Amino acid sequence: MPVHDLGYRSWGGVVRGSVSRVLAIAETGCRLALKSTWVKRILLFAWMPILFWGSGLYFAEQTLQESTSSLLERSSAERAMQEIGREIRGEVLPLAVANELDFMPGSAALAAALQDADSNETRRVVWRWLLMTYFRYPQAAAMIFLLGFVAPGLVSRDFRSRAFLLYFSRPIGRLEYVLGKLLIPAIFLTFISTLPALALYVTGLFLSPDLTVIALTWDVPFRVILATLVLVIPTASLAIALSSLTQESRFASFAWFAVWMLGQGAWFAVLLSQAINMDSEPDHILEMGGMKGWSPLSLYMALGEVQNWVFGFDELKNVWPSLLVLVVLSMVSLAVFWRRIGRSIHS
Amino acid sequence: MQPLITLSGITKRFGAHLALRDVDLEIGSGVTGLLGPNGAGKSTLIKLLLGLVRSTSGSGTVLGQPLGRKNGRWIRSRIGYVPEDDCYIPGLTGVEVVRFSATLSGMDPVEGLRRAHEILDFCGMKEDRYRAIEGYSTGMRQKVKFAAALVHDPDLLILDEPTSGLDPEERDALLSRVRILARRHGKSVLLSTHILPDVQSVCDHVIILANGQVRLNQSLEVINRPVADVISVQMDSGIGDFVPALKALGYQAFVDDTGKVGIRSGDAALHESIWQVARETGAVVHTISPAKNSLESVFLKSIEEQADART
Repeated sequence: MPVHDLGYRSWGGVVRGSVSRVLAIAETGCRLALKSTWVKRILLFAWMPILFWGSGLYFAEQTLQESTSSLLERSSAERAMQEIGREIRGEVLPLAVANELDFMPGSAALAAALQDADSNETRRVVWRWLLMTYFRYPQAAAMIFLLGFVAPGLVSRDFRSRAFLLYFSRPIGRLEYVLGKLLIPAIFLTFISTLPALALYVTGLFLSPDLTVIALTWDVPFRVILATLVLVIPTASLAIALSSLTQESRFASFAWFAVWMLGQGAWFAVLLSQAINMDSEPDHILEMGGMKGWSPLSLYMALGEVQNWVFGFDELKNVWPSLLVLVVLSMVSLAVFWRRIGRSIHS
Repeated sequence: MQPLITLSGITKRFGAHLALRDVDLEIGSGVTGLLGPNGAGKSTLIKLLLGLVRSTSGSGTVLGQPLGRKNGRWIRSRIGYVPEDDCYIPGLTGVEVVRFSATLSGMDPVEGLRRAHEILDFCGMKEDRYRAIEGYSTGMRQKVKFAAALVHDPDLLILDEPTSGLDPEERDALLSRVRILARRHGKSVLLSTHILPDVQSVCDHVIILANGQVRLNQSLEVINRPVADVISVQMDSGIGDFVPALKALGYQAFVDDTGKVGIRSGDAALHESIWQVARETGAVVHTISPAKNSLESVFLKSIEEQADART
């Protein structure tokens, strides 16, 4: 005989609101995604670049502080280091940035800031540039792989296993389902982009000479959050919409990677054709800004351009076509997702 | 006492297909069986009650709340639904599915887990609750679906073919749980099924739906009541001569679907006449009893009416 009552018992506890239901959907989705070893690996690797960018920040801070500290307080060895620091900051780095990183956005502003005598202004630009490149290069790539593994199954799996009835026979509506599902990629992307970027910012604060740096760089965390939104909203919407179009996760996965590869391929084809037409190197075309108008062709480039604007390395008048593409893509994707869910419920 | 569900003139059209036509219905508390052939409109009716589809016309209330999307959430928070189809989230264990259902109903996750274990105990699910649901047998999945529907302690349970695919032992156990919930815990149950013995076993009331229309809405007690003025005679032999001989004496005699002879008469001398005719025709009478409507005959009659309506 069981030691406890196995009969039915009534329940009269507190029932929570809609937010708890959204969180329940997101929590279950995250838990299921984390059962994949590949997802765990990608999450781990996505945090690796922070070490490299952290080193860059450390190096930048050392250079800034060495080049600006008082000569009188230093020993001869320290003075020699200081001289080297000044030389690196004033000559070597600007030259290196101008020559070697000229294909990267914001490199001209960075080179100019490095030559600026005002180290606070230099610090602001360097931090923003490091964070912008962090979002634009390693984290954008990590995002593509991570969502390629996490998102395709989020809705298609519910279609395949007819889990809709499990959701919609409960007191939840379409909005809670959509928000819950969107929250899953958003949580993963926040984990691999916002958290490390904010950690990088805090590291910068610890490395800086005093806390007045917070007053100078207060905008950086907000830019990081805005950059996260730019990264999350269009990509999560697209990934979820693709997932809702099929019952087979692999088709959604294929479509997801195809969108990025085809877009980037088309952009690259235009770059090559321009280089051939102008009898020039592709790097030179990029330096001259010859591909500006073509960025909306590639989702990756469009995201990058808007990230440049978010971190203050470009103006809105230059990036609005890319911004428009991202807004339209998000809206269309959400509309498709909304409609597909509606059909499933009411059919 | 206010009925649990009232529907008035409900019509639901999917394009050219009329799934429900002018349905008027009142369902009270207790266990109600919803019977009907495939395509009768049972699933549409259930979705309508859950607020998942909107009626083309008509109105109604569920648990005192008007039907429609506005009250859909409230209604669903008081209903536990066991769908006919297998619906689960791959990768979750049985207890995780039930806990997830609890949190979707607004329970705190920790409380939801505690409650999930409690309900799985009630449903007879043992250590298998920790296994991934994809590896479950049909019976185990039915238990998990049943537990998920019950976890938030609903007032009304809607069970869509809950015993399909179950072996006799599991079927009896599930029906016994339904009986316990209804009799001891005051839950109301709407049981949609094809299996008539299930309805006979647990239901107080029966609704037969055919071709989108309500054909019968009656308590099982009334259905099982002896039919007034009809005597049922079971014959061992000689039925061919027996029925015409009775008719010759002026009785309304007929052979029913079960092979028994039904005789409609208020005549006090009927019994004597039966024995006399049997003697004269050499027929062997096995039993004479008051005629009863069986659920099966009532159901078949409704289906025939549907077929007639189609032709």
